[in-house]
Amino acid sequence: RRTISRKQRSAANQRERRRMVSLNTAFDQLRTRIPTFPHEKKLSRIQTLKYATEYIAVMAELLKDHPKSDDCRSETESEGVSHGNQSENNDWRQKRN
Amino acid sequence: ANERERARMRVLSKAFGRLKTTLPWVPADTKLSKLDTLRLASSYIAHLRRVLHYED
Repeated sequence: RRTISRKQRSAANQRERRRMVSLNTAFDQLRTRIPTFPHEKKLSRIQTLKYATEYIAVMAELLKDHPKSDDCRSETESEGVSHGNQSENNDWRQKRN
Repeated sequence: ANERERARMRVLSKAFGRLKTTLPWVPADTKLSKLDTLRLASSYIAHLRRVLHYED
């Protein structure tokens, strides 16, 4: 029905806000996985999606020649991604920067 | 203005779709929510980095 009460509208708005919070948190998590230059501005949502797609493609390609590759399982990682290889990881973006 | 926003949303949707196709074990005809796409991509990247940096 098209006529909804103020209470229902308010409840729907609250649900939508919470949904957006969880979505934005997931975006932030994905951002941390993508190597960026130290003083770069935070990636926009569209940039995050595009760079994630490219990054995965590059790594999956590398995986083919990797001697210790094991592509059978995917685990959810709780925390602690190593950012030690920043400079070489950033090279994959040279063509678009 | 509404049309610009709709166009922007379409671009975003397509990007979600392309990211989804990079994920293994997700059949092409399966729909994946935006939230799940983001979460699975995060996990997968972490996994790939672990595997590829194994010998560093």
